[in-house]
Amino acid sequence: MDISTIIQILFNSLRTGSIVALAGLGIVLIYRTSKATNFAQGSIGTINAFVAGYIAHATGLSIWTSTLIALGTAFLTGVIIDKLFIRPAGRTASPVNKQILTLGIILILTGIMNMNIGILGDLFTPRYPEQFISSSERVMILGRNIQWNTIFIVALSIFLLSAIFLFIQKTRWGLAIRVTASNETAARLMGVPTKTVTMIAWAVAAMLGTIAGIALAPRAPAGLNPGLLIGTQVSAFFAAVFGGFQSFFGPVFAAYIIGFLLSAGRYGMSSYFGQPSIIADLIIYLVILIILYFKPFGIFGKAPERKV
Amino acid sequence: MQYILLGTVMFFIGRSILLGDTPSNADYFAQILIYTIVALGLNLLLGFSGLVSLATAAFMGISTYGMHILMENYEVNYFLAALIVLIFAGGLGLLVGVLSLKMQGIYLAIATLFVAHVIGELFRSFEAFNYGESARISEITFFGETSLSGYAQDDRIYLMGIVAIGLILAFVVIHNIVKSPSGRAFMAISRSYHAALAMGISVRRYRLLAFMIATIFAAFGGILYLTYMQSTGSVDRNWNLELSLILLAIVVVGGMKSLPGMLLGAAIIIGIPEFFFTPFEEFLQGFGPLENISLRGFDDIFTGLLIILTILFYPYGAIRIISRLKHTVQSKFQNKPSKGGDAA
Repeated sequence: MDISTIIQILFNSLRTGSIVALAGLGIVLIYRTSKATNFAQGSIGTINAFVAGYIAHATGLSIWTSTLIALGTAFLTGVIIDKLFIRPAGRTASPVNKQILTLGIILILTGIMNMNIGILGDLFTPRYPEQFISSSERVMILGRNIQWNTIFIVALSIFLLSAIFLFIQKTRWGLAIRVTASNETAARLMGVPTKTVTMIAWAVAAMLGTIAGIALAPRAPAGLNPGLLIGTQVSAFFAAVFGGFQSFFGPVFAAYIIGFLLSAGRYGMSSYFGQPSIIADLIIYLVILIILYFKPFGIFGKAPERKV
Repeated sequence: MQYILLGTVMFFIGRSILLGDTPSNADYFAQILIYTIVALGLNLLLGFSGLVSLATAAFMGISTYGMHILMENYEVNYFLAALIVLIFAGGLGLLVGVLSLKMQGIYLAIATLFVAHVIGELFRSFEAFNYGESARISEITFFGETSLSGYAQDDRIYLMGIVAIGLILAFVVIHNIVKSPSGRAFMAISRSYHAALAMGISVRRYRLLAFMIATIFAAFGGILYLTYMQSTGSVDRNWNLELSLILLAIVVVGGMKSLPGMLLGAAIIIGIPEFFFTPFEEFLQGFGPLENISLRGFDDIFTGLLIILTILFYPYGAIRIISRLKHTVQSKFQNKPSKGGDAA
């Protein structure tokens, strides 16, 4: 194995890790503020990625502008889902019931993506959107051609993730998110607008999922399709569990670890053992499950206190 | 006893559909019965233990492909193959359960999401599973003599009979589990996790048991699917996340912790889109400007909305509507004489 292969694996894993981290941070944001494990994260991202792909295709706008528009629709999607479905469930619904609610949302979004009425049929046609930076723009790093697009995706993700961390740690609204996450009732009694915080969390999570979808789609095997983010979502959930649902930083860190393990494992499995790369995924996830068996709250998480 | 009656009635409904004008509808009817069986197992998991599994469809897929490989490649007898598949499914359920149930209940959903994803990818990667596409079996041979092919009408009636017997069996088994000491333990866990723990019930062990039973029921449903459809079904169209969600919807909409509710739930979730949406679509296409209209996707939206509305407004499910109705009718009849005074 020479240095250029290592560079290739490194950049692949950074790219996979970034996309997983974006989706994973969304899941954790929602879990911390509304105590719901959001299984619809992937579907929300996919449906808005479709919007970006369609706008770029139909109007000839660049993928940059379409992405901005899709981020707007993603914001709306998050707000609508929070307002219509999550808030009415309120704090009375058990975590399992909220989980089931998000599963119902998946079905609704899948249904919308399958619809074929008027503009919708055209909107949800599977297609390959353009990359942010054309794939011909490349840079030579230690004997390997790396696409500028990959570097851009990684940089964008790291920028966004750091911006969100800074926001959570340094601003008043970040403080509101943190207190809502640690104890919603107390936060509300102290005058924190927890409803707005939860709504913003859903909207931001939807936007993060959308960026993940648009970044993934051009090089996904089937392009933009309703199942685009299923694999990413599985990894994102694993990152969230592995890093610990109780921290914001842990899942992001775990996402990059999982991205690296997946890229290296898939490469090794297909070039040294001649087996399909899914075997590598299977082994890696099984190892993570076994680690979780001994450390049930993740590598950075601590056991939550439970009261009867 | 009432379950035998129920199964017999279902068999005769299925038979009359098969003998009627549109025998193709019998496939949907068989699906209703099969999904009822799977939902009965899932109900034990979701309704009684408060755990969500997203791998139900994947487990059904494992059993159809498993049966296919055992019967076609190794020429194993039908019943032996079914037994092997059920034991394998139970073992797999045990493995996934042991690894994920140490954590909080919500993690099981994540672990099963992963299991379903990996199983789907495995099916797509290997030739033994026909790369995830559906594969037909030639015929099913019982006791070395009766063979059923699934094309002849008489055979299909027999196959519907087998599905109905499976339904009776599933109802009886679940009924006995629910009425046994284990069932009371499940009921206690579903009411209060901590109280059950304080009463000395090993919550983790019962959750594991519930997950294993749900897995075995899913595999049983898969076996019946293969038996009736004579095909393994494909990963992309049948054994996907969508079906797992639909099965979940059957349990939620039918009414958690209710056994007859599962049949009602399956009839609503599968029956209404298949039997009413399609004719409605044809009806709409009859009008000039709407001739290209398509109601594709509406079935999922319908199911998703039903799940959400049930959780938000009617947590006991559709079966509660029937028992309420019964209650109202009874109280009306009892009150009338006293109000009117002239009972005779």
